[in-house]
Amino acid sequence: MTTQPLVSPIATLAPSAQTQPQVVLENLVKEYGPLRALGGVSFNILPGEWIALMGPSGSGKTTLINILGGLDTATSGRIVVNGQDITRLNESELVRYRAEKIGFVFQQFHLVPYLTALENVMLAQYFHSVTDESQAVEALKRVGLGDRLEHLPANLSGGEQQRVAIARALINQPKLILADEPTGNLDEANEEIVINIFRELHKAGHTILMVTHDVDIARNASRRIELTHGHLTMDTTCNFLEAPKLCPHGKPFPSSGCCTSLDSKPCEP
Amino acid sequence: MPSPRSNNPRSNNPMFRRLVRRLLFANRGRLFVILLALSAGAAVSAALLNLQTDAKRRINSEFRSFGPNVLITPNSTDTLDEKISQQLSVQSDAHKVQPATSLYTVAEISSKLSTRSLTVVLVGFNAFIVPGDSSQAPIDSVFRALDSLKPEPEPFCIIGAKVSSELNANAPDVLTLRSGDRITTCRIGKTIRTGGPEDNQVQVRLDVAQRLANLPDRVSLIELTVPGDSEQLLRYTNSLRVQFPGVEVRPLRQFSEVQAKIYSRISGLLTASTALILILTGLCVMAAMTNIAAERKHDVGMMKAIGGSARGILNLFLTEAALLGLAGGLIGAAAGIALSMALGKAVFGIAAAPRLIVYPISVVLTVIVAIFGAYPLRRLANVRPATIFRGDA
Repeated sequence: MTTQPLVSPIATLAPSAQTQPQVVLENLVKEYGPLRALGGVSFNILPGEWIALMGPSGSGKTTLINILGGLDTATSGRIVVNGQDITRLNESELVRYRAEKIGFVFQQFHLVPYLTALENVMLAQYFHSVTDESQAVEALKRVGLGDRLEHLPANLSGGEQQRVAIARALINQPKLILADEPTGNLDEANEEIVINIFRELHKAGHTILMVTHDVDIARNASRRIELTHGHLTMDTTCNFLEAPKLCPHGKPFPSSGCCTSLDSKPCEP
Repeated sequence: MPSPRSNNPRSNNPMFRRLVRRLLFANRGRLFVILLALSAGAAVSAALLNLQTDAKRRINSEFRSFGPNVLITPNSTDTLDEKISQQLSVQSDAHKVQPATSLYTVAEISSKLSTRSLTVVLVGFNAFIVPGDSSQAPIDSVFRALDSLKPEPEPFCIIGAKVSSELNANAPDVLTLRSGDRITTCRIGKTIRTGGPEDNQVQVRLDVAQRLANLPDRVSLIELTVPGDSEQLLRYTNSLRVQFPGVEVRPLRQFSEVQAKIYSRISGLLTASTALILILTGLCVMAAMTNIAAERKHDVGMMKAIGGSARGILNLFLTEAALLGLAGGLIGAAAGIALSMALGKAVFGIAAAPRLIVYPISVVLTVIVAIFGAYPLRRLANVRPATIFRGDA
């Protein structure tokens, strides 16, 4: 896989670019004092894409996902999600944005320790609008935790906790799922379970932006974006799992399964 | 995935209660410590407040036993109409005043056993006593002595020590009382020595003095024991002046002012102690809440990340604190009132009467202290999720 610098990926996405992007990032900059975590990142996310956001530690992946999720603010630049510029939202509007449009899945799960699995899911309902216990039960059953409803996080395995977190992220039907290394704390078996859930979500048409260091996990994504020192250094559209499609530039996917969105040369697998 | 839910805020109440319950019982050891601190604070503050409330009544009661604090005397004439006293007696039920009437006259007295006669001040007393009301007991020993007198052919009288000595007359000798051409007799019931003018006086029942002086239904002085502080006393005497314009109404302020000063000091001391206890309780709660805030920082960051507003999260925490205050207040205030009864017995010798108003006041104060003590939790509202997840906070 070759690393290609990207300027404006949306401009080269020929066939699928016909679809309106769900997310547009324009020249996103984030500075922590003298430290520049993001140095003008720009890319678009189409509805239903599964993007693996990769890069070495300190490259700005988590910063980007936090800003996109409304947890942090950009120093400059613009993020438009479903036509709404979130960099212009005030605090209360950001709260609604997080509640209604974003589903977060964290590496550390971040479940409330004194709430049961069911209550952790219902907590997201509570902040969104109103709670519906039957829906929360259904969400947990879908991630295979129908028999763990009343368990506290301390009584669940890491994989189970992450599945609770996924159920919580999905309960409000968010437009965008942001996952920050969701398998980072899991063993292989649980990693497989969690990734399978993400595969199903992707098949169901959810848009996923997932931070990961694991190339094998990234192979599940339809697109990879790599950040280095706060700059976008690679953006490849891949098709390992689905039926062959056209690359964004209109040519068939190469045998490698990936094509860059900048030029017609297929990237190395 | 499930379909969107209707936006009905009412149906979130069960979840709100569920979350608050979970917050309360998240750490039972800590819950116990906070409850203990709040209950102890509520108990002591309730005890002090109850003592403070009771102290006023108690001091009034104690000072009332010293004697009258309002004098009603004639303005332009020598004597007053006794009916004024009767009218005051009617009022006395409402105002809890104790009118005592007396008539001062001069009489010549002699003893059958002595050839000497003396001209003395004869005082007729009529202490008004409300039956069954122990708080309106006779003012002094003289009244008590007179009250015990039984209507007999020869009424009893009390003579001063100097009169007794000069006449060489003692109980149960019979004295002859003369005023002008009117003569009557009385049997000495008691000799008193006060070191005051009473030592030179002879005291009889009011009707005896009135007959001897030929002043039926007239009195020289009406003495009242009025409860309350100096302001209440002033208000009462002003109302008497309006009601009885022809008489002079004089408050004896010294008792009332001393009474007010003592009450003010006790009240100030108790208020300061209560405030101090509540502040200390608040600081204890605050210390515990600071730990809770540190523990919940991540939870708050996560709640905000999934769409929780600062206000919504804060409502959960403040409700938790208020419920802790309510529970602590209810338990502590009940214990405190019982404690105040024991303290009252130790201080005044009589158990302080439990004042119902103290209970809700103590509970409300404890709730306020608990909410004040939850200040560290309020600061969690400013938590930024990204900062928390980065581990910077």
